[in-house]
Amino acid sequence: MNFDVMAVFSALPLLVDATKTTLSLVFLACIFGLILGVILGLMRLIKNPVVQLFSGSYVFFFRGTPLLIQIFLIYYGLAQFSAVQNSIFWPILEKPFWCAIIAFSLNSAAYIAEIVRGAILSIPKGEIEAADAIGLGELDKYRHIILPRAFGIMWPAYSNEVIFVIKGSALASTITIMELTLKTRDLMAKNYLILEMFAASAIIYMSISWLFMLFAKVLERLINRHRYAKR
Amino acid sequence: MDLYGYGHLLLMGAGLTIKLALVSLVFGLLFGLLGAAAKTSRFWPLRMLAGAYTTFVRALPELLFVMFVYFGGAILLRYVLSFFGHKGYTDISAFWSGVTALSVMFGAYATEVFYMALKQIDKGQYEAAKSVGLSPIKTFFRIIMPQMWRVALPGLGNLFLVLLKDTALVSVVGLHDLMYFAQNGARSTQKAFDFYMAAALLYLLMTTVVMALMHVLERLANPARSHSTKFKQTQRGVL
Repeated sequence: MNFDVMAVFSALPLLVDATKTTLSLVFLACIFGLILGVILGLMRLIKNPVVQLFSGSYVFFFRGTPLLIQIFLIYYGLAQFSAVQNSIFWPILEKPFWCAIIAFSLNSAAYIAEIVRGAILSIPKGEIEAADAIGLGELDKYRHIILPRAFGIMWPAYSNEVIFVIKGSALASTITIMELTLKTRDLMAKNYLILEMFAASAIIYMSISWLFMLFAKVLERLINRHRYAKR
Repeated sequence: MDLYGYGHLLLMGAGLTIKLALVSLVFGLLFGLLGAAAKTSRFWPLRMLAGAYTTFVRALPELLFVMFVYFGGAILLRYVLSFFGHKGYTDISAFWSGVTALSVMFGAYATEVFYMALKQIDKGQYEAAKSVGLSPIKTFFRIIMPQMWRVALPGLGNLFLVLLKDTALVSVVGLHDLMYFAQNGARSTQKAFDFYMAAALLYLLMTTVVMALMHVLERLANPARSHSTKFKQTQRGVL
């Protein structure tokens, strides 16, 4: 076995474009996932049986099935119906890139919903009572008290979820998106430097994850600075 | 379940998925225990090795790791075997490379779970075991493990659910699991939605069964708690 260290480094520039694709997949999926996840998380807390059943079964389905199946269900599955093919959404649904984003967002929304629900439930009761006592309306209470407070509580769990999206983005390679994993396979098929190419993409994936973790830690200290204050 | 005549194939694939998950669970638990043991060891290179193992494996995408074990594993194995004088062609079957990838990934997360559980055990437990003259191995199996188990069980249950879902990835390296047959059927009948939905529902059934089992196991591992709730309930009934 020979391992060519130079080949690892010379492969890195070839992976730049693919890395950009991976990053844009992750970025868009995280934004849509967060919006959807917060809505779903709030729905999980509404005491209406219909809303409960919908949000509960959504979370159950998306957390109970593999992400790979969800991607295939959206990209290959929806094309089975001619009603979908004739609808105005078809220009989006025929593109693998947007299908991957939809699948990642729907999937991570289910996980984020549970994080949001847990965070809101763990806000000290006194803070919500205090908001009621000074006469804030429902909307103001959520905007100024509950959501900012929940965000501080859920941030560590949410940053973990982002790491899972980064790792999950490799699955986009299965529906022909030229992101980091598919580009790695592509290079391997050309130059047969299997271990070297794996090492190169592992370096990139790890730096993305670690840079994000660093950012998450800094932001955590900023959001929850009351916990780190000097006495 | 007929599915255009592909139903029995899907069920056969589901059988392989279950087999894959269970075999990987056994090895994964082993890796997790070894990892946690190394992480709490007094010998620093072992601690560093365990730290590197969990950080590297957990930062890599699952799919990339599965492909690495399948394509790169044979090369590494050939290299290792060459030290023992083995010359010639070496190959790993798709099943065992799948098991290797899944159990190594499971082990990395399980190491953290076991480590956390180990840290929660009071030092006095070790000292008490030593003072009644138990050997270190007996201390571990009779005193530490039952207590560690109780703390680790919920975390391990979640990890097993992740493992069960990750088995879908090994279809990428050509293993004939549930996902593979779903893809096969979807391609030949052009009814992709039906097949992937059927497969998704089968996965959902499996995860539900696992969740129910975990619930039972957690009750069994925590007899005191379930007895106390039962006791409270009967008390309330009496009053």
